[in-house]
Amino acid sequence: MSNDGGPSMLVLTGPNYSGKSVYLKQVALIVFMAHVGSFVPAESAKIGLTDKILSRVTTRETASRAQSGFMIDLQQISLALRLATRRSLLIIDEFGKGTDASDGAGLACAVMEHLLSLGSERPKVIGATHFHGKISC
Amino acid sequence: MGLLKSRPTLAFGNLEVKVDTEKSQVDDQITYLYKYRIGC
Repeated sequence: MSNDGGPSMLVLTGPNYSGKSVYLKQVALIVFMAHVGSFVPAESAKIGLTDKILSRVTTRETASRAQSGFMIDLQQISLALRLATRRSLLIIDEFGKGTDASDGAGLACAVMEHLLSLGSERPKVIGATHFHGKISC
Repeated sequence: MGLLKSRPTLAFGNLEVKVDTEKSQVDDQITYLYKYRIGC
């Protein structure tokens, strides 16, 4: 993915257990490994300088805080949206899962629309969604 | 049609699966190929 006219956002679809989350985590790990000077598991890789790897992957629900899984999801995405720069990598896994399907799809779509609307300041985004048909074609 | 409209800055991808509806056991009907494909 590049900022020079090419896609900066990838929306991944696929059924449960098809490997969407693993794909997302693998990209984040490869970017991290490249930045610490490690080899990466690829024949060749071109990885841009990345200032932050932001993720909304697992929802850590806890009984010790009065927050629902959905609230935690929203807080994570809110933080990611505030911190993301044009050099950031944002990993979004199944955002909108913790609420009604159409509300969730609408929310996920709105976040992606917002990120795409940032123009030259848009971060690199990989999002996995189970809202196939609602969000994508 | 999806909510997210196609544009040059947005790419769609999917992880391929093989579906065989002829198989009698539900567990055998779907094979996860773990192959990334461009498009939706």
